[in-house]
Amino acid sequence: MKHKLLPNISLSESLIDLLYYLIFGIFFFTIIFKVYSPDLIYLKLQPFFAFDTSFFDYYHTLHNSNIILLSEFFLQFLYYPVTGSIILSILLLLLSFIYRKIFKLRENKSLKGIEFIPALFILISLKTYASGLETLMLFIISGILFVGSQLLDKTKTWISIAYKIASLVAAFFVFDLLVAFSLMIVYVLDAVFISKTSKRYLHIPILLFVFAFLSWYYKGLQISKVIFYEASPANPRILISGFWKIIIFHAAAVFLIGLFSYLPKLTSFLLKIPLFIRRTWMFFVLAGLSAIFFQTLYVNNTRYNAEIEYHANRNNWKEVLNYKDLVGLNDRISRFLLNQALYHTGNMSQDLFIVPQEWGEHTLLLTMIFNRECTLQNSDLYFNIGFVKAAEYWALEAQTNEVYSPKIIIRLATCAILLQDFPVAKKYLEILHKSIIYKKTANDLYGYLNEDGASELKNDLFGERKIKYDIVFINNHHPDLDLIHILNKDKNNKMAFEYLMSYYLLNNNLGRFYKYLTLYVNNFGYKKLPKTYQEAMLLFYLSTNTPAEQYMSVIDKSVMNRFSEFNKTMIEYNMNLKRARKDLQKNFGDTYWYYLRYISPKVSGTKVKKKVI
Amino acid sequence: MNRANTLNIILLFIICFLLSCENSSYKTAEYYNTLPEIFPDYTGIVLPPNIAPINFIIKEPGTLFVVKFNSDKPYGFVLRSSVPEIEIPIKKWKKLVEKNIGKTIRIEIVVKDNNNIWKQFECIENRIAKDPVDPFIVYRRINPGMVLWENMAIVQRSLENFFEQDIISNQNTEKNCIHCHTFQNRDPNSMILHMRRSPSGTLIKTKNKTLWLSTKTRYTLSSFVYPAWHPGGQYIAFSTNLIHQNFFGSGERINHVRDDASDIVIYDLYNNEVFTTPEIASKNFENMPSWSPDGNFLYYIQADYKYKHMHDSVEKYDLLRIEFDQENKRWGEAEMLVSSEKINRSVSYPQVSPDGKYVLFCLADYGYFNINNFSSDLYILDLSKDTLIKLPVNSEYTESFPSWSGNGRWILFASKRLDGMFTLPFLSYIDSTGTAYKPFVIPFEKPASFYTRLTNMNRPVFLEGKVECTEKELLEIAYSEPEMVVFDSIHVQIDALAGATANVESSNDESTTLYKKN
Repeated sequence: MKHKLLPNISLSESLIDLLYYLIFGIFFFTIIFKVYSPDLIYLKLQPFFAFDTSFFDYYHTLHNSNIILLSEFFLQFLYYPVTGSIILSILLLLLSFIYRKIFKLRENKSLKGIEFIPALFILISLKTYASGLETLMLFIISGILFVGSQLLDKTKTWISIAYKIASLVAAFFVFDLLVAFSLMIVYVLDAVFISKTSKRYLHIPILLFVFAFLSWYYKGLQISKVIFYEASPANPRILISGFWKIIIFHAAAVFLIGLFSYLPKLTSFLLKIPLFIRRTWMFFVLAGLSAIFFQTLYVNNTRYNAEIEYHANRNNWKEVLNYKDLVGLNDRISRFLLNQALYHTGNMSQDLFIVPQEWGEHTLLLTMIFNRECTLQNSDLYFNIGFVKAAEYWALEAQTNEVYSPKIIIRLATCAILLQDFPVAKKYLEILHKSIIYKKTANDLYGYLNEDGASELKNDLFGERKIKYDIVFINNHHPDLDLIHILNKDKNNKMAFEYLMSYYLLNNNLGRFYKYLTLYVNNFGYKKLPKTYQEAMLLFYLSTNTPAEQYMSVIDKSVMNRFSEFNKTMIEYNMNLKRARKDLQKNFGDTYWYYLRYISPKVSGTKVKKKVI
Repeated sequence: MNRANTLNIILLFIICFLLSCENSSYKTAEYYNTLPEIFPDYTGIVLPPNIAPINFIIKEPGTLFVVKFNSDKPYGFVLRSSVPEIEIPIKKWKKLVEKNIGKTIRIEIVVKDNNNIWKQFECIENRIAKDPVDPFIVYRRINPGMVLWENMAIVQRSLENFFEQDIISNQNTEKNCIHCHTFQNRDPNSMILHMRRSPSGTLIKTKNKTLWLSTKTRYTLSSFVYPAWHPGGQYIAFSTNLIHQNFFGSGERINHVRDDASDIVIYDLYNNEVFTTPEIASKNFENMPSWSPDGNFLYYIQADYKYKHMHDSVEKYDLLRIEFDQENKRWGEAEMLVSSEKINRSVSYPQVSPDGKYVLFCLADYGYFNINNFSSDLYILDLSKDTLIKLPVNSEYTESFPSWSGNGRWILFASKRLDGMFTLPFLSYIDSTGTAYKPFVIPFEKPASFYTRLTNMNRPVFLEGKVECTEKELLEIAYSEPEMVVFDSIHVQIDALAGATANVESSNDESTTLYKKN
């Protein structure tokens, strides 16, 4: 067919389709690789796949187990950013191809391009860094089974019915009830919307019977409970039960399928639009969608959280600090990591309050107000301090949520080696060894599975620092006591010292701050007392009526002057804290004095809610 | 004979020759006078006649493995494998075991090592007991976390094959905590489960009754905790506990569970009533009830009140029992059986043998919840001779949660001996004299899964059959409105830490006499 704008060129349908797929493939790849970053997706989702019976057995205790396993299998390749991005792009193209068949776009030429929409929606969902590929897998599998039946519909009805039954059974037994359910609904609505002859209505009662039989047979199956019991009075956000949620969700999708296939009249007028414009309309849609992506991604708190964790994981602590003004109030993990970044960049003692501290000490050390999300970060913290036993404990708690998180398994294996629990270390390494990605890591760590190896690992990671302390019980209520114990045994543990000081400052405990500062500060070679400590000490001296000559050599003149200015500003506003706040924040927002007046949970009234376990 | 046939015959001859060479070299293996290393260690054990195949991994390095199963009976079979994992065909195994009940089976292992030399090891001899083991066990599948949880289930597992099924999974109960699974006399049709968080309550299921109970009353410390079902069926003893735990900052252990207070109460299933007696609900720490098989005695552990204000990890529990008149709900005097002070160890998990002769329990340095306490070992008290014997089934790691089979010939317990972290169920044969034989881990279809399993199989208990009720039935119960239990505050007056009222007027009813505190 000759084209108006390009009259001398004849383009075949297949070439144009190929071009479409290529362009979309590049688009998907670009979004995943350049915009989302496979490193961030990998870090947040922690995919892991092992060719191991126990691994499969564990996942089969979860809902949608086989779908999750498929998702984990493909996501693990994001460990290699380019390879993983290519694989995900291919999967999205595969989904599009399947929908092309479902929409019968060979016949409905005017709507070519629409098949990419489901893939685009899947792509959008990835930006949360919280969802895996389960939905993608679900639709690919359902789509393949459905497309197969559509192809057979052109042959003999009884073959088509047999195929549908077999595919339902396969979906049910091999994958999940959820897949079979989806397929069931698709088949039923297919028969309703798309049937052209009366014979095809035979599909409905046969399929209903098959489904009823399978449901009865699997009366003990876990998956069905999701459908019937997902709603609960304790969770009013789920307004409808799981069963109906699935029906409505899939019905909407299938209705669309039927609409496009069953109502040719709707599309017939589009055929009057010039071919060139019809072919290129998706590009404009894409451009618009791309603009939305970029717009939403760059103001995305989830993205910041992922980036902070990414940089923290790689010990790029300076990069972490760049996010200090971007984290939300409730983003505890990010705040936790910001405090760690302060320490690792040497700013904790100097500028503790350049990062937001509205949580007080609860984003410095994890206390009994449990937040599951911070358990691994707390393990990291204690590992860096050198309290390996505590790091192991927190990693075990973190593992309850992500049993096969590679980072947690590596942490547990490392702690076990350092603590010379070689049998359990070996178990973790066996699991890692079963994975394509972590085989080498496991092989490297195997070399440490003896006393000499454990010592070598300890020296590599901690040098001369101690890693075992005779602390009877980890003190979750008062983590400062553990830090004191660590300092008593290891006087050069600077991280323990600075965390202890920060803990007391954030906890408004000047008395203990003073006590332990004077005990340990000289161990760490500070040229002069760090700024934040000076600010606190000034307050302490003033509150204890210490004569000025006793502290003038300790507190810099600049700090004292700044304190005077602070007080002056307060006086200017007649000690009206509310009115003075803006000015004080602007000029003294990074000081301990401002924290004490405005930010500390003890004065701000901010309540840290205890999470019910 | 044409050329093609001639060639086929020659080829066949060559193949047979090669095979025979293979066989003959295997048969002329060098003999090593040592037992082969296999994992799990299924050497020199006594096996039940109805046990599933004891699949194992040969730890001796090699490229080819030949395992011969035989006995004095004219039946045996040979397995050849190019991998060290040996999976025994279940039919062949069952036939071998059935033919050798009360006798010994032999396992000969021959390995072709990396230098192509065949090595034959000393024969493994295992005896097949005449006494079968209960066909099922039930355990709790849970991760090693101490405070947080995500995925857990109560699971039944057949010991006669590898069938395993979740009885109930918390994935279907909004990921709440499901625990303390208990059955009456190993009857799969009677079950107790607790659930914590939402939905929350105690589920009791019998053949005729299903109850979903809210068990915290204003007279009791807490909701019901550790259960023990009276053999008669009407009564269930529960502890009530105020529990806290600490996490070790050094050493081998991970956590220590400690009660701030604990008592024992009895729930009357027929009347929805809770009662107790001062002996088992005092300021001391009464805990871990267990009934004698005739139901005439309640065994329990008790720690002195003096530990209340001592620091953790010193408290020690004694073993006591108290007589119980089932007909009249009367109690006798408590009797000390094992004094923690005398032996300087702490008792927990008492379990009376079905013949009433022995009490099986754990002894540890301190504490009672000792699944993470490496000092916990299994002991047996001979009630007739009043002798305490340490069973030869212990390891350097934890042994805990002991229980008896219905015929009293097998004990089941949880141990962390394979790696120190993950709990697995172990079986041991115990004869009529109370002698225990070498324990072994329950068989797994894929023995390599021991290496990578990341969940615990906690609190394994025997069952005499399969639990037939469906998860759906249990969930329907759990999502119904719980019924409140009623504390018998009229007849029970105790001055206890339990909070049971101490100032209730006593009635003139004679049956209340024994309830009054002396």
